[in-house]
Amino acid sequence: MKMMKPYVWLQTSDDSIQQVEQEIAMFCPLICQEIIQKGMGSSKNCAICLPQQVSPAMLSLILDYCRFHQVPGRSNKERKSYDEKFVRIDTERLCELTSAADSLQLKPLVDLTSRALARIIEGKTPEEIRDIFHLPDDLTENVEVEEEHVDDRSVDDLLSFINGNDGGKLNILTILIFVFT
Amino acid sequence: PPSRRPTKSSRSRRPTKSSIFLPDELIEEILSWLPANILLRLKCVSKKWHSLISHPYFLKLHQERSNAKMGKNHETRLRIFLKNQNLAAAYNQMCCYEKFLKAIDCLPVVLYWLVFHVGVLVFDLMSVIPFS
Repeated sequence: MKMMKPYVWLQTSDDSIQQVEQEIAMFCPLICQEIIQKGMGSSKNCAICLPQQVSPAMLSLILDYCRFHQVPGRSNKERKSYDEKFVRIDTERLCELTSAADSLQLKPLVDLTSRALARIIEGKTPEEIRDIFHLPDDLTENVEVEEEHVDDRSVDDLLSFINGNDGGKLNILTILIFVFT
Repeated sequence: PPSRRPTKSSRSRRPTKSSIFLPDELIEEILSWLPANILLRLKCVSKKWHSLISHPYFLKLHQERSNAKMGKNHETRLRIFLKNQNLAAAYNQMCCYEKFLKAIDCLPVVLYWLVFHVGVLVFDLMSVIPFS
């Protein structure tokens, strides 16, 4: 029975080639385009070259996801609980999966994983978030410097600055700006 | 028979930690699921995130997400409402409700931008106000 199904050849980022069921692989718009528009994937020699983001481990996860959702007649509840379990992996792998799914243009999976990542971010401190996404701490320093600068000016300084000006209308305007900022 | 999954050796081969880099579009995608109050806090994570969150394109994306979410809530509320009230009263309410939803759609992006920066969730406030 299995041998009768059409298969498609895929090449992952580590240059390894594997065969997967065509109807499952076709869930990914990028693979679908390659098959229909370019006639690729029909043999090992013309395997579809997947984007750099798709490692064999990620492809395996993505195909599991497609295989589950491809089966007709599953209830919404079943699908929802599968999705919930599916994204219960460590954050690093979740990032990898988001990136791989995006490169295959698999929008439902991108939505699922990005939502899961959003939930993770929600409970994290800026420091922890920087660690997850390898971001530089380039903003906190600047903000601190600015705040220090503002604190340096005392109210007396400001008042003398206002009084020392041309007076009249300009004074009122300056005070108003001062009050509102 | 053809193998469905990658071999064990290729499975254990994992990229190094620093190799995972999400492009700006995906960061935006992730952040667009978060409520405005959390986003305001996340502005201090890095310069990059600060500019991403402040960008008009992101605000538009976020607005779309919020609208979609709100639409769902309203739909369920409306269904419960219809169940409990007699039909004539419900119909009147529904007309008001549609006007209210249209009014929200008309809120210009500029206003949303302002509201976003002040940190007030205008949509949450509006849903608290009775619609009749």
